[in-house]
Amino acid sequence: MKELIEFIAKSLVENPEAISISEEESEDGTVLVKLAAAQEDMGRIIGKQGRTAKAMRTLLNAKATRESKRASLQIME
Amino acid sequence: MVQELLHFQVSATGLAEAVDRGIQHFNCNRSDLEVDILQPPRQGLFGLFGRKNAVVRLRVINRVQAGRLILEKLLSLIGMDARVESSIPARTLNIISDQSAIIIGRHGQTIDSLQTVLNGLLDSALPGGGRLVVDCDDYRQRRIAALQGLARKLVRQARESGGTAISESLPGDQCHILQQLLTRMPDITVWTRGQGHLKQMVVGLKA
Repeated sequence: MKELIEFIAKSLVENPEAISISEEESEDGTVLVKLAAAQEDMGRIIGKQGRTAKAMRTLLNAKATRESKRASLQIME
Repeated sequence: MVQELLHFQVSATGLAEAVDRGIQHFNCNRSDLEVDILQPPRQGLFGLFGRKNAVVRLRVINRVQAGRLILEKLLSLIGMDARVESSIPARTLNIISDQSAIIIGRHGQTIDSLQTVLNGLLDSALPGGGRLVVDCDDYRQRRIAALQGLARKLVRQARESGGTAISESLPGDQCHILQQLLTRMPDITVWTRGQGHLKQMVVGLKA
């Protein structure tokens, strides 16, 4: 899960070294992926009207479904 | 990341061989690549002493070919078994897979997300080009046919009721297609309702 979000996020931003991603699994089996980026890169991560963030969530869900899991992306602001 | 995906550094005995290896690596044409010679080849004394290989750094500069490589990477990261065919004139990337239903997703959400992320990544790597279309199993063509049907239905409802007819919530590009179809009707007026990336189209009769 983490690799997909890391590839997208690090490729979008000006400061890839500031990207930090963690992955944890809750008791109900949902994988929570937390993404943090430099403040000045948040606009690139979220996108116009939140389109990029929504698309990342959809792709993460598609991957989770392939692995018979549930996943959620949390963007830390 | 994307920049690394679109770069390839290779060493070979001659420049032509190094470039050929790059073409094979990216599966594209010579004109799709920018070649930076880091070290020209040296024959050396009697072909033995001081002999050096050519070292070149290649970068994909064709937006469609770069898009194909990025899309293949995204699909592989998602875990989809698929390959991508590119059409440079149509600026379209067509995904070939027996898992097309999963790739398209509910209401086309997954394929639209692939297209959104792909174009974002492409803009960061090769700024200043137009958007690419991602297709799978003729989904875009089938969607246009469905929108034509929806346009006919909305017009019929508006004419019969004399009031307005409202579409389901649609992504912006589909609203745009629907609007183009509806504004061809001389007696019909159309506007959008809602905020964000999903909007409804409201169809009414001109006063």
